[in-house]
Amino acid sequence: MNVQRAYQTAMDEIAFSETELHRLKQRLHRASEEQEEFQMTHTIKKNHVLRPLLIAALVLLVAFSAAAAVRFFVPKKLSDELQLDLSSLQTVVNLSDAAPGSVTTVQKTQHTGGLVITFEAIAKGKCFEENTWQSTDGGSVQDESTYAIFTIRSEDGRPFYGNQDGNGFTLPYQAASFGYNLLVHGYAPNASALIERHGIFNYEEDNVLYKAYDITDVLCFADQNPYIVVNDGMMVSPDILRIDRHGDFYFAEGYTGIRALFDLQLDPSLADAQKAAQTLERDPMFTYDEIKALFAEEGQDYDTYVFTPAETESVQTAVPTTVPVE
Amino acid sequence: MEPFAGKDIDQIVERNAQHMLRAAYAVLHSTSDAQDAVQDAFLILLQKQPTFHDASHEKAWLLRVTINIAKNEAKRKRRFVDELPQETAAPETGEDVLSFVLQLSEPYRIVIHLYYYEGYSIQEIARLLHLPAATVGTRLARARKQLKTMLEQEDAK
Repeated sequence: MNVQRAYQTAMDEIAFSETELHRLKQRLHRASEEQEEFQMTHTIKKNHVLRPLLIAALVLLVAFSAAAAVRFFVPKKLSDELQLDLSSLQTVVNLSDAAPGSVTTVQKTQHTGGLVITFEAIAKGKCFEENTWQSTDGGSVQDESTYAIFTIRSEDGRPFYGNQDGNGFTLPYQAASFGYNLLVHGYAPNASALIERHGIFNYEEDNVLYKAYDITDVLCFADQNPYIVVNDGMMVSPDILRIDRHGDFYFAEGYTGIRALFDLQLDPSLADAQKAAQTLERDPMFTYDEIKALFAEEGQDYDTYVFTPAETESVQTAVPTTVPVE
Repeated sequence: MEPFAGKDIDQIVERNAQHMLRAAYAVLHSTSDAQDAVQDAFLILLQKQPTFHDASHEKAWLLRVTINIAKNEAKRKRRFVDELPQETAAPETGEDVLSFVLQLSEPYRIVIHLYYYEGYSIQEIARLLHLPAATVGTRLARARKQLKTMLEQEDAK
């Protein structure tokens, strides 16, 4: 039996009828009109209603000192930890409702490729300000998911010009094309990226790009030092980052792109050995010895191999790019 | 400029709706739920109004959004029921294959659908799903292995 043809034939039967398609189009036309009306109303409100309200709010605001506002909105310990960047983080994470343990501040900064990348905090999805974050692909912030929050600024204060992500998809907010990849200490970076991504959310204001990266899948590895790497392109590969025999990460010789490596500093008590084993079963990750053996099978030395763009694709794939159909 | 108004949205629906429906069905096992996912994906399109290079870029974006919505819906449903609803409305030809594919776990179903039905390469699926190509290759190989076992067991009956 030709499996592909059989599957195609069966799937062809799953279809919108002409009537259903017609209804769908009608609904979308209505939605488009409503959206247009909303935008018009919103513009009018902005000009005639919002401005006086904003002025009134500003008058009220100056009655509070910045320090008082901090104490008013944020638990004291958190405000002490957050210090100067509090106002920016407050914009995107609802710290006032943050339950103990649901927001952990980190605030580690690295400079790379003209960018200042700060790992600001780890927060539960339920702490996020609604309607602030935009997903690139229709996903939504999940209350119980855990996110690593970053801010990115260009050193010269310029806005981010690129409007495409590494895969050619248009971003709702302008963003430079670099990727975030989760790693676990001791496992080769290319394989670590096998952990499925559940969403990257963006928000840009005053030339500061905020990014929230779903790290829920690595919580189970909390006792094994999970990291996050920021690099050129969407995926990390051995031509960018590798591990040595001790399991430590290092950037490959010859890689000159954006590079920032952050220890997620997760609470080891979050580790879940059973879940970690299941994750490894689903998406195997390779230790130094294993990745070295895999490269040896291809006649290459993992430690010294220098990739060329054409070779990168075939080595990364590790399986035939076409799979014969029986 | 109204890039998705009037005739444009009609044409985008004509070009992509059936493909999106089948991708959502591969995740949700339910035609009505899949239809809802498609509608939601188009609403996101209206809201965000992204710029596409060409029709294949447009299709890839819509498929990705649809699959994400369907996965979220499947996750939401799993909170209330152990299994997703199973439809058995497949035609006689390929009925077994479709029902076997629908028995695979969600990540395998999506990869099988994009590969077998949409004809995307492993690299293209990797870009579409934001996954490394090696992961897609592994999932495809495992899914095919499981399918083969199921079909052999069926033949042996």
